[in-house]
Formats: sequence, C-alpha cells, structure tokens
Amino acid sequence: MDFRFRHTVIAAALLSLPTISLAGLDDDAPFRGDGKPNAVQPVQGGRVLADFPTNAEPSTGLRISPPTGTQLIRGQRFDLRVETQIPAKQAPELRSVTINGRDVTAAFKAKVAAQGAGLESGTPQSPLFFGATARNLSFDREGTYKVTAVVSVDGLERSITNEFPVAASPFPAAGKGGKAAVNRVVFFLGDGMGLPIRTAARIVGKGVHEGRAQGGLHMDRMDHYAMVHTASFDSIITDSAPGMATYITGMKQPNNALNVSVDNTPETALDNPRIETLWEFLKRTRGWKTGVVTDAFVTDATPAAVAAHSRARSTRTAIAQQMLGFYQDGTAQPATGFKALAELTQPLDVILGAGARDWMLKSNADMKAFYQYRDDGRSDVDLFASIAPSRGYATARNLSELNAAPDNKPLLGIFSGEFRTTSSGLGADNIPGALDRRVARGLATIRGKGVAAPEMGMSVAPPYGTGCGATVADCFRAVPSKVEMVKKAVSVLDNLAGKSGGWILMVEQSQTDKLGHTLEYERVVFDALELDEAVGWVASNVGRRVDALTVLTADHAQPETIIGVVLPGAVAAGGPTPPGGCFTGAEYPIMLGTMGEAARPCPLQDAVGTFNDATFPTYRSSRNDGFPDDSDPDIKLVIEDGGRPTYSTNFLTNYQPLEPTDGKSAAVPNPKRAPDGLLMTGNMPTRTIVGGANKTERSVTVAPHSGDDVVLSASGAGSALFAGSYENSDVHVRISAALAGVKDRRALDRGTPYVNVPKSSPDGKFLKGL
Amino acid sequence: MVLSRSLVVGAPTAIFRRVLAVLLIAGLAVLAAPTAQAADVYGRVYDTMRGELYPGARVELGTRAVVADDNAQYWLRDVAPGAYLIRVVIPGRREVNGRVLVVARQPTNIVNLDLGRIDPPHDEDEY
Repeated sequence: MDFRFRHTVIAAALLSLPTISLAGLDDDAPFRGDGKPNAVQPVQGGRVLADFPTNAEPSTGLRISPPTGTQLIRGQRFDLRVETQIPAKQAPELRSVTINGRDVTAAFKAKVAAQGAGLESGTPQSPLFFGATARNLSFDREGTYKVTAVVSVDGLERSITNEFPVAASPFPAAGKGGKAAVNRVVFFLGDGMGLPIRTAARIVGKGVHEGRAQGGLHMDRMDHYAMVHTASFDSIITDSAPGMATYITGMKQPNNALNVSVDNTPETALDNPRIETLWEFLKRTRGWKTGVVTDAFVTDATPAAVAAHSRARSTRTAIAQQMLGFYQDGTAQPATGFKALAELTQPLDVILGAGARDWMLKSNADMKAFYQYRDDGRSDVDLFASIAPSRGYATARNLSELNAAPDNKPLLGIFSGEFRTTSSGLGADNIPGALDRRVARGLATIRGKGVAAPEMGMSVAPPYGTGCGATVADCFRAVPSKVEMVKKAVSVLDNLAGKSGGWILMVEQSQTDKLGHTLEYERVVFDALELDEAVGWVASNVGRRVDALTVLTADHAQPETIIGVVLPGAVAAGGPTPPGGCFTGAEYPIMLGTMGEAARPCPLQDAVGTFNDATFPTYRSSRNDGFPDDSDPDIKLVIEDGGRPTYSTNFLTNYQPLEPTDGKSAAVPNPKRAPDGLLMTGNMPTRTIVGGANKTERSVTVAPHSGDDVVLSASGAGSALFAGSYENSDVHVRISAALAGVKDRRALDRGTPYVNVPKSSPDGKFLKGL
Repeated sequence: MVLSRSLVVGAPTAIFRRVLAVLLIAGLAVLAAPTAQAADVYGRVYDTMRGELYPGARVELGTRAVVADDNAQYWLRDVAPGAYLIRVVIPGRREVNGRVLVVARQPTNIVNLDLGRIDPPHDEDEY
C-alpha cells in the first residue's frame, strides 16, 4: 500500500461502517437508584438532550430539580420539582417519589395539593405535561440523598434519579442557640475581575521597579487562594446571575437565572423551583443581619443574587420588592401565587447602590431632577418613598444623606448614575466609574485634564434638573465611593446585629465588568483599585476580629490581558508613533504595510512596547492613597481583549466612557471614539447570514465574558478551607464549614466526592417540609 | 479480480485513488442517509427573559419548515443525526438561529428554542 494514503484508507473504511451505538436506549436516566451508572452517560459527553446535555429521562424529558449534584447544607431550603418536557398523549401521572428508598409519594402529593395548583406549584398549562413543585423543603441530616421519581407516561413508567450531597450545618448546635465560630462575613465580588485585572491593578497602583512590585494590593495580602471554575448550568460562559447565585447556594443555575432552576413553564419567570441563599438561610435560622453594596443598579444580577428568585434577571421591579420582602397584588411582585416565595425571601437590612427606576414611581420628582432619568420609573408603587420607610428603613440619595442616616435602622441608599448625555458607557442606572468620580472630586486627571476641562462634560448643569447638584461634577462628587458605602454598611450591620449577633455583607464592584464590556481598560483598573481600597478597610477594621471571614473573588473573568506598554505622550503629540492613517475615511482601508515603507498604514500598531520593550509604567500617586494621579502617565499599561467587537483605539484614556461600536453593529466602530485609532477587528457575532456559520441575528457590540477560572482569596477565621481548585458551587459549603469552626481543609474530605459530606445515606425521613 | 490483486501486489496510484474515491463516497452516503438512524426533534419556542411563548413561530431546519402550534410546540420527524443551525422566524420579531445537535440514539431530541438563551444579551440587564 502506498504509505501516503494509508491513513486516508483507514478513515474511509471507518466512514463506510454504520455508526456504532455505544449505548442502547434506556428508560432510566444516568443515575440509577442503585448508584450504578447507566448506559446513557450523564451530563458530560452523553449528549442526552439536544439543546443542552442534562440529566433527564430521554423519552419524556422527565427531570428533577434541583439539578443532580447540587451541594446543599443541612437545613437549607430548596424546592423539589418533578416534571416532563415532552407532551404525552394522555395526562402523565406521578407514581412515586422516594428519598433513599423511602416512599414519600403521598406526602409529596399532599404538599403540592395544599400549596394549590398554578404558580404556587408551577403547574403547566397543558395537562399533557407533568410538573409539580413542593416548596421550601430541606434535609435535616448530612449525607447523600438519592431522590427518584417515577411518572407514568402513556402506559409506561419512566424514572429519573438525582443525587444531593448535604454538607454539615454552619451551626453544629442548631436549634440550641449555639454561636457560630464566625459572626462577620464580607464577600467581595469583583464582577468580571479576572487575574489579569488583579495584576494590572497592582502594577498601576503600586508600580514595578527592577522587576519587583513596589508593594502589594490588599487583595494580594489575603491568607489563602483558590482557582474557581465558573461554568453555569447551561453555558461555559456564565453571566453574572448564576455566577454569583451559585456561590451562595451550591446550585448550578442557568444563565440569566437568580436562585432558581429551569422548568417547563417558561412563560412565568417567578414560579421556577427555588433554592435558599446563604443570606436568607442565616437570617431565617439565626437572625443574622444581611446586606449588599454595589455600584450597579441594586437589582442587577450580582446584588440581586443574595436575595431574589427569578428565572429572568430582567424582572427588576419584582426583584426590588423581593429584596424588601414586599408582596402585594397589583404590583410587579404579587402576593397571590407567591406565598411560598414570601416565606423564603428575607428582607435585606442594608441595600446600597444605584438604579432608582426600580424603586421610585415615575411621577416622583426625584426621578428626573435628582437621578436624571429622562422618562423612567415604576408605575405601581414607590418602594423608596413609601414602602421602605413604612417598614423601618432609613433612606439616602447621596453621600451626605448616607453619612447622616442612623445606624440603628435598616438602610436603603439609592445613588445617582453616569447620566452624562455625552457618555455612552454606563447610563443613569449605574454609579459612575471610580476614575470619573475621582476626576469630579479633583483626585485624578486624564492626560492632565481635570474636572473643569470641557472634554469631561462635568462643568455643565445636569440634563434634567439640579436636584443632585448645580453641575455634573457636583452630582458625581455626591456619590459615595465604595469604601464610604462599606463603612456605613458595616456600621449599620454592627449596630443592628449587636455584640452577640452575626451579619453577612456582599460588596460588589460592578464596573470592573461593565466598563470592561466597553473596553474602557483604564477605568476597569481604577475600579479594581477602588475595590481594593474597600478590602483594605475591611481588613483593618472588621478583619481584626477573630470571628471575621473575608472572601474575595469574581463571578467570571473577561478575555482581557496585559500585552505591554505605550507612551501616551508620543501618541498624543503625533511624535514617533503618530496617530492616524489606520482608517481615516468612511471606508476601512485595511492595508498591510512593510517595515521598508516610509509611511506605514498603521503606525499605532508599532506603539505598543512588548517583549523586551515593555518597560515599567510610570504611574504616580502623590496622595499615596493607592490610586494613580493620572490614567495616562508617561508610560502606561496596555490591556487588550481576546473577544471584542470591531473598535478602534489610540491607547489613550477616553475622557468619558464610550461604547466601542456604533451601538448597532459589532462590525462598525464608534466614530466618536478614537476615530484615527488603530482598527481592532472584532470577533463577536454581527448578524445572521442565512446558511452561514454564525447563529445569531443580533450584534454583540461589547466584549464578552470568558470561561476562565477565577482567583478566590480568603482571609480570617476558616480561610484555610478555601485553598484549592473547585467549582463555584462548593463555596457556600466552605463558608458554612468556616462558620461551624472547621479549621483544616483536609477535614472537609469525609470520604465522598463532595465537600464536608460524610459517607452516609440517611433515611428519607430526614427530608423536612413535606 | 483486478482490484484485490492490485491491492496485494501494491496498488498503482491511479487505481488506488479510484478505490479510495469509492470508499469515501460509500462512507458519506451512509452518513447522509436520513432513514438509518433518523430521530425526532421536539421543542417549544419561547423567551424566558420575556416570559413569552411563540405559537405560530416558523421553525426551519435545512429545507424543512414547520409552524409551532398553539402551545408553541413543534415537531420535526425523521431528522438525520448531526449538527444543525435551526432558524426561528417569529412574526413581529427578529429571526434567530439556534444550534441543534441531533443524536440518533435518543428517542426524541428535545430542542427548546429559548430566545433568552440562543440570542445574545440585549443590554446590560443580561450581561
């Protein structure tokens, strides 16, 4: 045989054989009741279901929620749902539900009947589907539980089994008033803050000399480190909703979901099977005080994850009500149909962030004059002006009101956003980036230009009234920084919890993600430094207590990375690397030049110093406060994205945040942003070409999230438990173990593949709540 | 037989290429045959972010097209295994393509077309 063709012949022979089925059809799902694997492979590699692989019986789509492997803790509430996904010819019937072999069918049916059909039980509209949810159950003994459901579908009995590891309770003396080993928990979440951004923040904030960092960030000084896997239930690229919610529930969740699983009633986002968050658990079981601080709108995915339950993170007005525990018919979050939800959610004691439109009536004068919304707001009820105060909350709109708020009342603070009409980066829903607020306060410049420079757009009156200040700068100055919010939050929580009580606080830095989407790298780094400032304050104050635990991580990364340095002065002055020539007309003359040409088409491409030429940046901090004086020093860091729309850059900080594209197409750069810059060809979807290789109609006009692991750091009591490499769904079990006083990470290995789960299969009678 | 003798003694290049072509065509023909391991595809068309079902949505798979029923359900019978883009056309809304992996050994491939999932994020509410 001619050797050149041997491999081709073998391949052709294989192709000519009928495809060999490695696994025959089987009515059972991947996990049998006896624990032996089925012929149909689960989740990984089995391709069990076509839209995305999941643990379900293949003929009917019969499945159980929570998803198999959900890592629970003892006493944590969850909804148990059984449902089919393919319509039968006749109404399917539930035959049995067993927990580790114990038949609980009658109790399950009775619970669902008592809840009533409809939203309370997630009843499908069509009787040809089966679907029933028993709400607010829990396992009252640690160990591993196998839950098997059998449903009769058109004369055949179909079964599915999910397995739930249940870890030890955070309170070993549960029910007896035993105090936890940890009573102060601060969870910092740098949204989208991958490892390169932590590195960049250190270089920018501290500097490098002869290869050594000139100091470390506060986040560099934490005790223990981990790598965390961030994939969501249905995507390797998580969004921020499951990204945060999984950390504090143990349940992998689909993108866009907040503390719920998928179900077969997609027409209603608020009835999906739910799971209790650590915030809710600690408040319900021990009366802990709970809080959230963010620079995003408060109902955004990350802050909402501590308190809300919805299949659609976009149900913002309902989420706001859940955060206050306010249920009323005729509003976005009705009471009818949501009795179990009202029992599950726990009102937060501290809520600080932005996004007034989810909290105030449109008719509230502050919506325009103070928060600068052109035409927005609630249409049903004013949570900020009436509901929250009636429930004992103090309210604050700016820094002075925040500081003046009493420490002995729950606190709702809603601050104004990035409302400059000349900026397209964030919008009125989000607090301005740290760089822009520091410019407003006279603490930073951009290429030497300060607050008064017309390019900043801060010396003018706000667009819709002067309620927040006479000028944009006044309004921005009045927005509290992250550390100012954290100080107040801790003060209130300390006061409300008292010496004997506990509290847990989530602090999000949202703009490390939102400004990353728009490729505003300098602003991302300033926001990472602002988060670090808050980490430092907590370390020096809360962290001094022996019963305090601090965790810092990201929900996901973005495909940002450090590629070198550039000399802004040379770029701006048109010196050795003058701008322009890359694409200067209406068309894009993307030309390839050679080194031999006197006028190369893209001199800016030669501006980046990399490899041996990446000398150390020259950021200076004259205040020695951890922030550089100017975002464009003589030598600055260059960050680029592996995933991006087409945009242009001249490596200089934009005076105001700007969208990278024209806002319509991922293929068209924003003409207002570095129009003479270097064209960075994008790789994000643009539009459907029927029959083409891409799949979406819409453009992705921003940089995406990435599927990389993220770094998690922990300090304080129990922080040693966090070292390692693990799923984001394992984090809440580690926090629980820290609360229980576990010190040694090895102690979490109790002979099972799960964290802090003993090798036992408790009796099904320990399922409580039926 | 010329073919077998040729293979035994060492195939002249021209003959070998013809053999190779026959084998490749045979293999591809088996792969493309829709009846050998064809499977059914079932799903519903909806958007979890909007809480909407889309009865009447047109679902296109290659040259085939069906219309979702009053419960926003569709069936595609006897689909050859493989990876597809499936096109959803909803009156009054933009068209969206989803990915479908049809697996022969499944009795029914569930392909729910959730626009909240197969469509890119619309705005900051979904990042």
